[in-house]
Amino acid sequence: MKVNKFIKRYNWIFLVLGVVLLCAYSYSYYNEHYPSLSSYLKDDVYEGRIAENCGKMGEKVEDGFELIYGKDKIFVKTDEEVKRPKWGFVCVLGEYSNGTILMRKYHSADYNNIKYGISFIALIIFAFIFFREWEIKGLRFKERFKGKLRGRKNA
Amino acid sequence: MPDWISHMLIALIIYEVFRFEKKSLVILGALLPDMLGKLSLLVNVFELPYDVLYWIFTPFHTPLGCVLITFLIVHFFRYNQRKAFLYITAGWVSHLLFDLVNKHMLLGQNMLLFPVSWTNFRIGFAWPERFYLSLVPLIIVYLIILSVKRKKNQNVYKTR
Repeated sequence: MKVNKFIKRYNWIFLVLGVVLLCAYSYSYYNEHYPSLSSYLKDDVYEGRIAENCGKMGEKVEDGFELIYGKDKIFVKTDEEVKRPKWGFVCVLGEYSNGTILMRKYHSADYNNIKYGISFIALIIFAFIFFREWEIKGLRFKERFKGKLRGRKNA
Repeated sequence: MPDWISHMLIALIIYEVFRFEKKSLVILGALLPDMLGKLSLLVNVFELPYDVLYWIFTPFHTPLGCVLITFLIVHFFRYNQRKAFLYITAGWVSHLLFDLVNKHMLLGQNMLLFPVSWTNFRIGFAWPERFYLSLVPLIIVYLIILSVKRKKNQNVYKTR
């Protein structure tokens, strides 16, 4: 009985612990599955591995271009003519080789940034709908009315 | 990822079809995987290390991560916790399934079996930036559902 009560009262601690462990596991082992750009630039263990990296296109030259993601920059070698993305980013699939990426495939995500603008509008609509149904009471949300909003109007 | 309006519309369609009580909880669930998962996009703004944020937040875009977060979130509602869990879960399940339509070359955020498997699942219908391919049909479907419901309600009032 005591154990059951303890679990009921403090189950949120186990949940937080579960989330933290999941995040820690993801962060610790991702390089084995999807070696990132910064990991490759720090450590040549990932030489020859194939990976996908997305980012802004930096300077463009005849045999490739510079790919920028956050703090990281890498030169992408290719014979293909890669278009500079408009309002978006470029994704490159290629092999890590001698501090560069030998490109196999690429995708230019043009106008992708519009999506973030639209999503921001969705966030505002969501906040409006949410606070029509819930109010903050202490540290929790309390329903403003029982059941559906439409039902209340007709009542 | 399709845009958030599309995810929201799917949540609203689920809410209408299954006659749930709280639409905000279904929408919350539908946006939940991206609300936390997409915090990694901050790398573009603040030039933070790419892998730190992306991979720390990736589990929030997986079923197990969403289940844990949903269990946590329902604690913050003074409401029937089973119902709250059901509504939020319906939302994020729709989100994860809908994200399968995205095309990716190798890396996506659809690791449905994480942490057992790191495989990215996808149907690969369209590139994520072509969000309008899903947005427009969803708006039409939602409007049709609303008009059918309105007609039904009008008929009920007439027969009374």
